[in-house]
Amino acid sequence: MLCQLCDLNSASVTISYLIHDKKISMNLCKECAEKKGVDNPMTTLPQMFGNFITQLLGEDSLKRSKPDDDVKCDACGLTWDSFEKTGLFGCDICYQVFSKDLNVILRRIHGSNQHIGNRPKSQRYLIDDSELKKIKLELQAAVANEDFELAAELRDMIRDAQSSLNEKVDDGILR
Amino acid sequence: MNEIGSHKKRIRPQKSTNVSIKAINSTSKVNDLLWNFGSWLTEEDQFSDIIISSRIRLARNIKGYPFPNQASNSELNIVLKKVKNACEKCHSLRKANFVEIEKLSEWDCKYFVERRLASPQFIESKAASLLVIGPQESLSIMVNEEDHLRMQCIEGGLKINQAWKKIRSVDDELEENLNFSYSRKFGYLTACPTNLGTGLRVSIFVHLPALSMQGKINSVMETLPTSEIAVRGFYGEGTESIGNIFQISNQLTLGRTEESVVQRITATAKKLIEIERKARYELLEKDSIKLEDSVFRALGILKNARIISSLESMDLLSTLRLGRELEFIKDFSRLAINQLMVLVQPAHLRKIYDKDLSAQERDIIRAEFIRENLSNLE
Repeated sequence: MLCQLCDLNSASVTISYLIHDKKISMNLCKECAEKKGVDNPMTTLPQMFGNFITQLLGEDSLKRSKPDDDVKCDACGLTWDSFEKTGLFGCDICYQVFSKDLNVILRRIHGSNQHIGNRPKSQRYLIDDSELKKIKLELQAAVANEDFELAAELRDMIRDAQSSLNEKVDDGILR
Repeated sequence: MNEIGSHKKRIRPQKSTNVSIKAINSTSKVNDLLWNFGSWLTEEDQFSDIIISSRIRLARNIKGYPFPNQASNSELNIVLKKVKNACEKCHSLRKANFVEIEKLSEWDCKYFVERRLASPQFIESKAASLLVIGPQESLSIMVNEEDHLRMQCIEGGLKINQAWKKIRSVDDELEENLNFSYSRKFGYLTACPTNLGTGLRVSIFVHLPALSMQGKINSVMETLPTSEIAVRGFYGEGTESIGNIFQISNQLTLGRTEESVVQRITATAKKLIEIERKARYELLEKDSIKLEDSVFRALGILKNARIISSLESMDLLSTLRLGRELEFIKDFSRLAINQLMVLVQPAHLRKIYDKDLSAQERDIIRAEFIRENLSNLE
């Protein structure tokens, strides 16, 4: 695994932070860990989410966190400063307002910024068996053509179809 | 074999005959839950020698309302009503109890934490907080914790997949009446970005006394990838392990499918089961008499102590549980020991004896309670 700060060297140190009751771990290379002052285990680690966010974002965040250019979510009133302190967003609109910095944070926390899990029932595809075979072929073609957006859409469709098929099988066993 | 409490004199409260949805507001109704152990304390499977319980939690928020940390009291109350209505229409929750946290005493709140139905954080922020408890305490929902909904399914033994199917169907059912915050890119939107995406946290509670005796806990835990898997204490995040019980759960919620997380934690559980079973076998092979000695010493203290702290009793019950698994003792069922581990906690004792106790009085009463129950179980 590569260091989550420099993305260059391989990670050899894992630091865990306890932030807002959540344990977050970062995998760092030796150089970055030393820069963060983590050269020995007795060093006090930053406890606040704010410090952690600042570290995740690097220098950009420090420059930006002056009060006068603090970004604010108009829907709920949450400021970036406040997010740095609590680690919590205030509403669903915050995810749009702060999306620029968020992508970096999410990549560092989850190693990804794209949801691939379940969707609300109302947004799932309803597909039958014969259609499923066709979609699988289309997916292969999309991947071959490097049309990843289409491939993601098709993959979602297949997932939905398969999970609804599984449910049918389960129901058959249960009832 | 007797279950804890089934024979107990005296303090067993009358069961309510009302099976439809009922509101618990007064302390006395909370008592109804006391002896009706949840399914995770009454059901077991072939992995229950090591896996005490499996738990799945889903975080959800309702579109158009600020998350609890930014919401006004009136907004929180609207959310509460919407969730309550949706729960009342939900087939899986048709016999649910609704508990308003605001109306509970401090001890009743702690009692729900000990019962793993509420988080310590949840009982702190009382305004418009509702706890929905489904039949057998298997399904439950914290309303207005860090997110609008924190749904939970908890089962005895290694039943992660089963719990996942159960909670997924509740999620689908609730969605018919609730509009959840969701984006195609980020998935289910949560107050904290560490829950974003699936909002899924899968946990197992594992009992690892043999690895602990061999001093191997840390080295085993270090083999788990910290970026993917978290090891937590008895009461969840930021707490210590008690009685050699550890909580293992997934770290990441974005960019992973629910199924892959379920599989990952199941695989981790099976690995830990294998290692702990091996450690137990090794102890038996190499140091059987020493092991037997510590089991019977634990039993001796539990059966004779006059003052015992919660921590000491958990440690001794942990050893007793190991002794029972290795068949040094056969008098107690595994479930009875699990139940005792829950009942000796402070808020449970406070409820059982129904009076305010100082810490020292509680230690005396705990010793008495354990003595009585162990002699009744034999």
